[in-house]
This record gives sequence, C-alpha cells and structure tokens, in this order.
Amino acid sequence: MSASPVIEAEGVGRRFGARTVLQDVSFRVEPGEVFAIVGPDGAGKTTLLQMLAAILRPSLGSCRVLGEDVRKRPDRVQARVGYMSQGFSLYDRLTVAENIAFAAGIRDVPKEALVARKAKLVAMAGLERFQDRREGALSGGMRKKLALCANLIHEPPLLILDEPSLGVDPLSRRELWRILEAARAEGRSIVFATSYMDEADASDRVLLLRDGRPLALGTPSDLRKTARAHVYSVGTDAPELAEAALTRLPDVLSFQRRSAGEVRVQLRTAGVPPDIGPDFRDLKPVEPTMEDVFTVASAPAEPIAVSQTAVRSPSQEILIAAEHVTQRFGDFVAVDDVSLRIAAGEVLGLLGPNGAGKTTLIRILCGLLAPSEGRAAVAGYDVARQSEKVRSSIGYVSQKFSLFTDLTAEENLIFFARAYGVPSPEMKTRIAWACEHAGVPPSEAGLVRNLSSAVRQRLALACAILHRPKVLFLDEPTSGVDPLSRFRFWRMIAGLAADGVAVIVSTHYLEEATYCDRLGLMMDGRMIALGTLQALMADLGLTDLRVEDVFLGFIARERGQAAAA
Amino acid sequence: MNPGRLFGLLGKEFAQMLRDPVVLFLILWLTTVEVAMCTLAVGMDVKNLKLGLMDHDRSAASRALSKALTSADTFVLAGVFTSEAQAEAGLKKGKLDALVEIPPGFGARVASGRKTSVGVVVDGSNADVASRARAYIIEMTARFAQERVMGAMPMKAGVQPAVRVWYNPNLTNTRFEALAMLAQAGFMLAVILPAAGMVREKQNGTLEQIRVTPIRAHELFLGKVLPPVTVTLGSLLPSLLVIRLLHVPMNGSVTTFLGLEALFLLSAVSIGMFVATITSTLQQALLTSFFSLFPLLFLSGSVSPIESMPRWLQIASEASPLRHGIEITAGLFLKGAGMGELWPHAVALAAIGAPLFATSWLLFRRQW
Repeated sequence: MSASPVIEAEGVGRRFGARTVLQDVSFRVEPGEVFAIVGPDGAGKTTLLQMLAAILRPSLGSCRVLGEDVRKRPDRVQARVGYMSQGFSLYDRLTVAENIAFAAGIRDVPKEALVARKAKLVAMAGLERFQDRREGALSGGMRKKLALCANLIHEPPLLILDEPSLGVDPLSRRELWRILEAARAEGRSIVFATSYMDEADASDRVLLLRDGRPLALGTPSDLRKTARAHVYSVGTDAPELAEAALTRLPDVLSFQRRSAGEVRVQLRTAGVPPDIGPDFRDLKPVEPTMEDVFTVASAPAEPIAVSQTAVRSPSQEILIAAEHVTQRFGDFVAVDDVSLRIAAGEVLGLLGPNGAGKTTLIRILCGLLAPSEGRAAVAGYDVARQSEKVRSSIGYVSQKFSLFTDLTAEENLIFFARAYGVPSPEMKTRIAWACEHAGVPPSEAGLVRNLSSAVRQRLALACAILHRPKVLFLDEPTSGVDPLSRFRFWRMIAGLAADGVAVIVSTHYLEEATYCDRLGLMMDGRMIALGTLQALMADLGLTDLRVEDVFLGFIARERGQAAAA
Repeated sequence: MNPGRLFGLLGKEFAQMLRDPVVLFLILWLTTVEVAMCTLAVGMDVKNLKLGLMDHDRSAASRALSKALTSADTFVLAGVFTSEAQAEAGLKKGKLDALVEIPPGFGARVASGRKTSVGVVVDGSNADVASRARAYIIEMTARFAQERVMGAMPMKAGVQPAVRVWYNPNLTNTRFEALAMLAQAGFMLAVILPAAGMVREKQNGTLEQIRVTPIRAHELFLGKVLPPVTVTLGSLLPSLLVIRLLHVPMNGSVTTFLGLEALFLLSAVSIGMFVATITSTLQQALLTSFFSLFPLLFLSGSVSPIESMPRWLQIASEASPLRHGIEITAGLFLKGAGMGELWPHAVALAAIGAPLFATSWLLFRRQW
C-alpha cells in the first residue's frame, strides 16, 4: 500500500490525575482497513478511541490521524473523522430525517449530495419507512443504524465506532455490519471497539487490550496462531465428568461445553494435551477462536482456583412454575402467554432480541411486577400475592450490577446482609461464604466505583446470594466482562446450581447458551422455543453447533409463520 | 418494622452522604457563606442612595437643608446641577436615585416664616427604594421646617409621638434577613437531599436491587427521610455561628429551636420525597425542587412583607411552611419567644406537614 497510513500511534497513553488508564499503545491503520480494538470494560477502549477522534488529548506518546497530529490540530481531525460514541448520541426528539439533515448541516454537506447519500444510507439501514418517526421511538438496533448513517453522511475517510453493536440484537447487528461493509468497500477505514469476539474475527487486524495495556496485535489468523496448541477438543458421552476432570487440572484456563458430546479446553501451556484419563475419546487440538486468543493471552501467571463443582443430580423439586403469564402495559404486550417450569439445580438461559420481554419476565418472577394474566410461583410462593416471601427466597443480579458505587465492597455486603435479615452473629461467616462462592477476593478494599467490571460482577453475585436463595435471577450478568472472567462466573453459577439453586439467566452472548441446561428463546413477548440446545438444533435440523444459527433460525421460522398467517 | 434492615438503610445513607466531598462542601457553603452573603446583600435597608441637588437659592438655609438630607447614611450627595436637563439625564442613567430642587428665595421665605415648597423627584423604577427615599425626604424636610419655623417658639399643643422600636432597635433588616436565610437554607437542603438521594437510586438501578430484597416500603421511606433531616439539623450549627457573627442575638432556647426546626423540616422532606416519586432523573428532580421552592419562598415574607401582599395571597401564605419557619426562627431569636408564644406556628407546621408527609408516603407506596 503506497498511500500514507490513516492512523499512526506511537506509545500513546492517557493519565487521569495520578491514574494511568492507558499506556504503550502503538499501531498503524492503513487506508481501507477494518481495525478492531477488543477488551473487557475498563480496558481503555473508549479512552483510546476518544484520543483517535481528537476529542481527548493523549498524555503520553504521539498520534497522527489522517496525517494530522491529534495534539496540534485536533480541529482538523475532528472535522474529517466520523465518531460514534457508546450509547445513543442523536436527538431523540428529532425524526430520522431531521437527525440526518442536522448531521449533514453541521458537516457542510452540499444540498445536492445530501439527497442522494441520504436515500442510499437510509435504504441500506432499512429505515425508509421510518423517516418521519422520532429517533426516541425507534428500537435500540434502529437507533444504532441511524447513528451510523448520521456519521456516514459526510463520507469520512475514517470511521471511529465505540462498541457499535453493544446492546443490539443479533439481527440488527448483521444489518449494522452490512452498512459498515459497504462503507469499507468505498475505501473508508474503520476503527471500532467491541467485546464481541466474532466481530474481531471478521476484521483485518485486531488489538487486544486489557487493564490499559496492549495484550496482542495482529491479523486474526496471526493471533490465532499464537493460541494454537493451547486449545483442545474433548469428545465425551459424559460432559459433566469431563468438566469435573478438567476442573482439577491447574493447567486448564477455561472450558466450554460445545455440544452434548464435546467440551473445548483452553490451556496455559502449549502442546501438552490435558491429562484427563482414558475415558475420553477424541482428544485433539483445534483451531482457536478470537475468544481463545484472548483467554490464552490474558492468562494469569498463577493458576486461579476454579470452584470445584460436584456433578449435578437432577432434582424433582420445581422451584419456578409460570402458567400462561401475560404482562400488558396499555396496548403493548410485553410478555405473552409464557409458561415454564424450572427444577432445583437447573440453569435456564433466556435468549432474545432487545424488547423480547426477557427482563419483564424476570421482573414478574422476582415479584417486582404482578402479571396481568396467569400465575407464577417461585420457591412455592405466589409472585403476585406473596411477593415478600418470594423476595426473601430469591437472589437477583441486574444488568448494571446495581451496587452502591460510593460504598466499599464490605459495606455493600453488610448492607445487603442486613437487608436480607442475616442475623448479626452470622454476618461474618455468611459474607465470607458468599465471597468464596462468588469469587470475590476477601481483601477487596476501596470504593466499588474503582473496581474492575469483573470484580463488580462477582461482588454483585455475592450480594445476591448472602441469604442462600433457592432461586437466582441473572439479567445479562456478563455484559462487558472479559472471557476468562465470564468463564469463572459461569463456573460459580454451575457451582450454585449443583447446590440445588434454580437459575434463570438472560444473556446477549449467544455462546454462553452452552453453559445452560435448557434454553428459552423469546421474541415479541412470546417464548418461541424452549428446550435443551440439542433438542432445539434437532428441531431446526441443524448439525453444526452455532447458537446464533439456532437463534436466527427460530426467529425466521416465527416471522415466516406470522407472514403466512 | 425490622430494626436490622432500617439500621442497615440508615447506615448506608449516612455513609453515602457524608462521604461525598462535593455534597458536604455544598451543604457547608449553603449554610455558612450563602447565609452570610444573602444577609449582607439582600438586607433591605435603603442606604447610600444617590441624591442630586439643584440649588437655585444658594443660601445658608438651602445648604442646611441639603446637609440635613445627607447627614445620615440614607443619602449621599451625588451631584449638584444647574440645569434641569443635566439633572434629568442623571436620573435616566441611574446616576441619581432622587433629585431635590430648591427654588430661589427659599432661605428668605423660611426665615420670614412664610410657606415655601421644595421640588422632589424620585426614581420610581424600584418601588421599594423609591417609597423609602420619598418617605425619608418628606420626614427630613418636615423636621427641617419644624426646627426652623417652630423651633423658636415652644409647642403649646399638638401630638408628639414617642416611638420606641423593640426587638430590633436599630431597625436593620440584617437580623431578620439572616434568620429568614437560616430557615430557607435548611428548607432547601431538606427538599433537595432526599429528592436527589432517591432519584440517584432510581438511576443507578439500586432501587430495583433494594426492591428484590425483603426491605419494606416504609423502611426504605424512613431510611430516606431521617438522614436528610439529621444532616440538615446538624448543618444548622455552623449556620448559628455565622449568625452570631452577624450580631444577631440568640434569645430563645436552642432545644426549642431544634425541635421546631425538625417539625418544620418534615414538610421539606415530604416535598423532597414527593419530587422523587414524580421524577426519574437528577436533573428533573433538581428543577422540580426549585420550582416548588420558589412560590413557598415568595409567600414566606422574607422577600416582601406579608402585610403588603393582596389579601388572598396573605391567606395563601399561611400554607407556606417557610412562613411559619421564619416566624418561629425570628420569634425565638429576636424576641426570645418560647412554646407559649410559638405554638400556633407549630400547630400550623404540623397541619401542613402531616398531609404532605402522608401524600408523599402514599405516592411512594403506590410506586413500590
């Protein structure tokens, strides 16, 4: 490539006061490249992107974007790049057309060019029918697509996107990427942050960040090479036994059940297959995914104690029983005739696009909302009439890990212990028990707001199990947490399930569905599929395990039925 | 009521409030610096008004009159004019607040005991200032005339008022303003602290987390209401110190003061909780608090005297807890009044606070 690079970063870093949030980042982005920045929350992704967009001054190193020094000429950089921040950055009171016109107006887009460009972008985003709708009335996925259109209207040579697909359902995610592919085909460079490893896999080059430092940089295939021989597949008829055996090996970093007959393992040392005994057939190295790369690259020096879990024995005690539960908000049906039964020790994963009714269903089962129709019992208590008894027998971890961020970890634990009526003499032992089961380091000092997202997530889990609940509700508990921490989190959930806790988890990470005993797919408030992953795959006639295909397959079938009806 | 749960809630609330340096600084700022600033700036004493003089007489008498007008600190001589146009320009530009025109032959007429007149023009754009300026000029001129005309001969008949001002002998507004500000600062804090605290839990999602625990609605309500009252009462102590520095006497009992103040703050925290139930962001909560504070403030008598309000507003002012709070504070501090004199205000505060408290509790309960 003879053209000068779009971005040249040399040892870029940023300090806030005495705290260094990012350091030693060096990379180049060539014209037309798609460059992914991958890392968990708090890794420094947003800080790096803001410095590239010249809206935050680097305090270390040097950085040139589109040939301009971001320190000396931030105005020129800002004027030429397209920057899409996290969350929704458009005006919710303006319509789709007005938002695009505004974006064009402030970027000096000529009138004649605007009409053609707008028509093209809006068509690509599938927003033609919604041009007169207010931005605030669009779904999350549509708002993201619109934000992208607004950032493409001045045809910037470089697009900087901060987690464009965060909180966007798989369907909208595909459409979002179609727009980005078209932009790339026109020769634009794209730099984006993500916590989705499959998006990283589809990029030209990837920078892995963790705790403000670069972990690795290279093309996806280069990076996969570094993790090769660290990843094995274990074929087995008894995945529980295989998992139990793997748990005992210190060299094992993490593992995932891929299907009823296969477990995938990530190892600290390369080329040494895990010694899990002769009962397991087909132990073979497999091609690593980006997720594996991250796991291997972020392996701690010392083995971490993964909670040992007893093999689960299925129980007959039904802890959650919902019968024809419906929830209406005015004309809107948020949950539509949902029935399900969950036994003690069972983990149910709830999947579905935004607005499918997952959170509302969880809120009903928690006793926060009385259902408009139908009935539900949790731990033997009716959620509408005995909501207080329900509340003292459940634990709940919300999307935002709702902790008091201006209190310390210990103060949070004490507060929730008191709230759940843990007797004072037992307080200490109970908190220690919860911390151990949730993997919270006992010496965690300082205010919660300064803790990493992974530690916060574990602390939220500890706060939710202080009273030894029979049922645990987890509403997207792993968003923004790195793969290794997610693995540890799921091991803890498995451990709690082994103790007889019934668990309902909603998640956006489709690969996490493999950790669940059964899956519930929700769409438009309805439970469109419910069963084990194998059963759902068989239902669709799929053989290759890809949760996303299962998910999209059922949605397509549902839409087809709706269209036919 | 579970004491462990309530205790947990209270402990958490105090820790959060007292650990936030910004909030602590703002509380301290409001109750000290702002009390002092408002008192000194808003003090409604009319002082140092700019007087213009057109002396067409230039006699000993005319000089004596102008000296009499500017001897106290109400007026300072801002300019002597010879032409009307100049003087008018001064008034228009705001360089003068009042203009006194002494006609030719003034001295001679006064000396001979004949009737004479003095022209007075007052800038009426600030009615309050104008009325005081007018009254002052009339009073001083009358006194001047009395001394000149009748001073020689003793009064044989007529009524001579013997006025004594009690409780505030210098008739300064500083004392009253300081006490009004003290009451207002406490009231504002007790509205905003619970409103902000509650809305913050809504925004952070911790409210939902609390709702899935066995914590009951009334426990959370008390846990949200008691800490702001305590913190506000505590913040009044530095305020009292500032007030002492402003030379306001403390004649009543501090215990009575704190007791009645707590009753007074009951209305404030109820309004705060009410605001929290109808808003969902901090910005909304703060704006709503301010808008609800203004009418109460205007009706309290600290901005303009209640006696000068239209009749229906005077009646409405009875419903402002601030009015009673200010009367209680002023009564206690300036007059050394006790419960014996202040009980009607205490009853009024209870009558206003109880329904407010009940309403905000019912709304809160319904949202739970």
